[in-house]
Amino acid sequence: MPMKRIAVVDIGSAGILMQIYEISPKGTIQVVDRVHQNIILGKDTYVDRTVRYERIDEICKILLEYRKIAGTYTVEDMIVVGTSALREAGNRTLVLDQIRLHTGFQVRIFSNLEQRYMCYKALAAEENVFNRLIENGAAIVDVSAGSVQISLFDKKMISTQNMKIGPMRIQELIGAVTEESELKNIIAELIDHDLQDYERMLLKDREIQNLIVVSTAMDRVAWKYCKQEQNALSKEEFEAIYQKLSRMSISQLADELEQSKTEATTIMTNLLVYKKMMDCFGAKSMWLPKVNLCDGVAADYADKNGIVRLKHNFEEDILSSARYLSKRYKGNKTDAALLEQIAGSVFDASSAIHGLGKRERLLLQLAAILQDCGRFVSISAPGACSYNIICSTELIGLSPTEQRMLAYIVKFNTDPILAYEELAGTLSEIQYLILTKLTAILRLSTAVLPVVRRRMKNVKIEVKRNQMLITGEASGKMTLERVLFQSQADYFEQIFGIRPVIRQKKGGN
Amino acid sequence: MAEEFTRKEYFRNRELSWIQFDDRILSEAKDTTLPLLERIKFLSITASNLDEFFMVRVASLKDQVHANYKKEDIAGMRPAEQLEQIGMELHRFVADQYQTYQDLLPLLEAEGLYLVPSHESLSTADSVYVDQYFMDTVYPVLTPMAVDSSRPFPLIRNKSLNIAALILSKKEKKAEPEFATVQVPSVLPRLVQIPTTDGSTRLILLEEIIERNIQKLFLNYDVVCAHPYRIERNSDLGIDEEDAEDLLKEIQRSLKRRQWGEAIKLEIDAGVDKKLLRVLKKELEIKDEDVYLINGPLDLTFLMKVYGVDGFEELRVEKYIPQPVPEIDPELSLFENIRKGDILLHHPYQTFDPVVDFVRQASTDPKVLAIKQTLYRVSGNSPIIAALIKAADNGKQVTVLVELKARFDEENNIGWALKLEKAGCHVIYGLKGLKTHSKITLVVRNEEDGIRRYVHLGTGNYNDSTAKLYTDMGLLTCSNAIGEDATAVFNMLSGYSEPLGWNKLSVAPLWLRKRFLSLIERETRHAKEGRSAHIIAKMNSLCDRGIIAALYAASAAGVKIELIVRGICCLKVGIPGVSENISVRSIVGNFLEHSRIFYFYNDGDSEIYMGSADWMPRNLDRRVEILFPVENPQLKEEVMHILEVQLADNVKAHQLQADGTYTKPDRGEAEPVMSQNQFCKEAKAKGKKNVKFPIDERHFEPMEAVPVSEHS
Repeated sequence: MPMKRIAVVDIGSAGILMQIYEISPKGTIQVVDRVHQNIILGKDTYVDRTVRYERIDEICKILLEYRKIAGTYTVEDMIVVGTSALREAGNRTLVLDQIRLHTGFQVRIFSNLEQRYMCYKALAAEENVFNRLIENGAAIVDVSAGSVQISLFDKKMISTQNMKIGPMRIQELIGAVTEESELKNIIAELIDHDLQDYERMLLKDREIQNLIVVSTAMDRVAWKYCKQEQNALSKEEFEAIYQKLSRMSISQLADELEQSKTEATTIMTNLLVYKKMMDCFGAKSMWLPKVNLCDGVAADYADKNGIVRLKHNFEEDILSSARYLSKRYKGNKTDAALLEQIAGSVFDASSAIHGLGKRERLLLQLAAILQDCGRFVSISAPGACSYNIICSTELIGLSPTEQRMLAYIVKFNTDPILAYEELAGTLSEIQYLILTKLTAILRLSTAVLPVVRRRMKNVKIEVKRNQMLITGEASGKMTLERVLFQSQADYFEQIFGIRPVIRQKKGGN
Repeated sequence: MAEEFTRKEYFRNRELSWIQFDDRILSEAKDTTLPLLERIKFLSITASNLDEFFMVRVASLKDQVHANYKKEDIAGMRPAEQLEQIGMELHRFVADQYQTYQDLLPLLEAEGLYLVPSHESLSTADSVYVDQYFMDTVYPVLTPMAVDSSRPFPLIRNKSLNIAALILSKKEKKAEPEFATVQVPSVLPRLVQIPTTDGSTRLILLEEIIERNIQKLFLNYDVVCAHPYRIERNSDLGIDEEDAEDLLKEIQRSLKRRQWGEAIKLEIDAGVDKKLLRVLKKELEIKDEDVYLINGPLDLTFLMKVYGVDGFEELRVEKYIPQPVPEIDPELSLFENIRKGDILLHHPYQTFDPVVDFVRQASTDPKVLAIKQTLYRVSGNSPIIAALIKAADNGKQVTVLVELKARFDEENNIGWALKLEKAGCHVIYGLKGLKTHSKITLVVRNEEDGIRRYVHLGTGNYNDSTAKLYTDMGLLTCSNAIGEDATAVFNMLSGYSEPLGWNKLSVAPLWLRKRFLSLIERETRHAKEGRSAHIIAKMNSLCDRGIIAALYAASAAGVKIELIVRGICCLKVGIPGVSENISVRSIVGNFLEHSRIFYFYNDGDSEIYMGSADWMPRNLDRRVEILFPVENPQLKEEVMHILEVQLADNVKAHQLQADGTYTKPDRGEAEPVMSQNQFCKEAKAKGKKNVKFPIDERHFEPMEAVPVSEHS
């Protein structure tokens, strides 16, 4: 297979970045060119919630220029993505339409979590280092203009949490403070405030040895102080750099790092954030791999197109963070595991009938894990509570729609399912259909759960003619279980046109 | 920098230092060990150098005085004070120049080469010839202009040669003499060869022929007196880029303006009629101190034509033919050659062909995707431009940065720029406020294992003509790190953001000064720690206060500093406690020293850099320049050898003394070392190793056209 080249363009809040990648069949993804044009979009969006017409014009002009450059490299694909500056614009639909009309580019807008997920993919693409780091507990600290995303790993992903302590936001908050020494203290206090809660709720006494840096500002520090091949600093090395740089005035820092003063201010805030994080986690080392969103999109592209197989199991990450979430809300671990298994079996057995794929199976698994999380808040109305918990939790790796579907599946597992019209606007017809199918499977599985838990062994699920046979070695009567089962079986039949039937084989006790 | 090293008495004014440089060239013209015509050539160079100095430097100082600008220079001199001292020095210099000329004339005559000193000394037979030549060839293109109340004083073009005359009307008996002027036509050769029968060569200057026949131009008048004169005008282009909407148009406009800048110098025959001089001074608004009374022909640049006159081979140094580069196997493509390892080029000892071939091969190579290049000064009929146009025709993406602001080449560059644009190249006109002086070419190739970038970095311009005369270094490499940097350089030049950081290159104006200072300071630190410390730097000019102060600090700390500075040097040597460890030498030879090489001992782990920048504020702060490292150990050795030979030169090197003068070192019994000659010999020996050429290859060498006169 020959080399494949693609271009990835990120329309960000401070500029438009394009990176050209060369993806080799051997699995390396390399940047061969990088162009960045400054254009301040964020300010428009954050203040007026609108991208002005002249700006749209500018974006189109830059994109067309970029297309020419990409053409030089005979790229096979050019992917254009947008983040908060476009996402949060009130006239986003219009902007995207204008860009499409003028340039032909269909801009893909990422949610915050998708954006972070992409960067995370870029990190995972550097398998050797990444896998070694998460083995001993690691935190990805991804600092963007407005917020900081912390994702914890202990072999697998534990949690991901967004905190509104991004450098730009902090600088806006304290805009009036001009005294530099005071500035640093105030920033430190602001970070501490959020970080304390984080420590108490999510970090607890978990051991995090390595901190993984995702930050353009810190990339400049890495360029200056890291040995080129390594991109790593020990705690002591970072401490020394921090001590040296934090004593400098902004203009001295700008001079030292050969940056503008604005950039130096951002770097200073970043340094403070990372210093606090290092202290909070007690991390022993810092990895600064200089990855950005474009890198992530390229890694994702390579992965999805089968050019490069990322060994890291991202689905396992979602599942594992769902399990940690369930644990946080005192979910029944044994039940959840069993339900996950049953639901999986039902799904697999009926695959010819429902026609759903891997991704839907993952949603089902997640729903099974999280189906009782709302009970932590209310035993009488777990559906609505679960829905709210899932919607407001960050589950990296799911798209916003998937996350909403997941919340609905869990909600409708106990609550009556709403008609499509009532959900219209949040889901498409196809998505609604998937939702109903997965809900039916989960409901049936939930009804089977007590049977399996208490009375049946060696359960087998298979579809034969117009029936779904749930066979197992059982003991005793199952009056109550059968009643519960019956109603869910009706619903299942209504959706799939086959009748679930429980068959007892003798032999149980 | 500590104040102790920035005192004004530690620095020399750059203009005075420049005049010393021209003095050194003049000393070559006086060097009796040189072949006669070579001496003539050096004399001619002093004249063209001086013209440029007047038009740019003197003009700029005049502007400052007019603007009442009183800021002191690096040596604490105000503009007016500088002008005064420079004026004195220049008058001395011009006198010296013409003394040299007069000394050389009889020597030429002894060889059978006559330069007719004045038309009055022509033989009868010769007079007949020149008068006929005048009527046939000169008269039709002359435009005499008289000045009176109805006809204002005409505009005299910058650097044009003219004849001024006082004329008296034949009709009005009591009339006052009138002023008249006629331009010596620049369309005709300045030197006219008079046919001879005795095998000698006789040359006469065009203005002498006109002067002899001037009466024919003013039939109704008596010519009282006639003398050649020449003026120079202020021609420094002060373009306000902020206001210039379209740089190209602005430069075209200012080129027209250049013809009509303020007159800053009047050269006129020493025997000029006082009344005539008065008229000229008044009309040109020129002061006494700006009048140069010349004892000989004006504008000695014509001597370059004398140098090129047919025959007299024994009076010239044998022409050197640049040698092939042994590391380049001519049977392989240049790209294959570069893949074998970095290639160092040393021009003009080694041929410039690989650089032209680099672009030429790229233009037709199907694997090449893009070619990017900076062009500062290109030759007329440049093969590089032709190759770039071809590349665009072949569908390559060609990006060319044409620096429009290359002084005196603006017109030329606009022509190329438009031609390239027409061919479909993407032409960039440089960055606002910064001249792009860096010399870099990037070729992007799509190879089996992916994109590979080939880069040429140089110390000299992409000009195949000057590459035969200027000593420059070049590096051909496909190092990934340099390739990435080169890509970033062109992205920056195209207006995109700077990269996160640089792998290998240091780029002015943002990073280079700091880099140099930190390299110097590292040596200072090592010296202070009692370790060996050594800097060798070769460049064209040294006049940056910060860098010089850092060198002083280094010297004071004990760093051994050896500088090879061809031209301006504002640093002073031998100041107790400041610059005792610094030596400065200037090599003036047949080739123009042009390469910039920087060596730092670095406690034994030495580093060598080359680049496009001198240690001048303009290079470090107002230009895009590139400094690149030489890392391959073998190539480092080669560059080191070049520096060592230059430091050992005891024939062509002038050593700067503590009193500010330059003297050639007394070599005593030592073997003479002439670095340029040695490099020629070495290149020949090395080039011979490259025997893959068919030995008896037929070779037609085009004659270099040196028109002496239309009859030659």
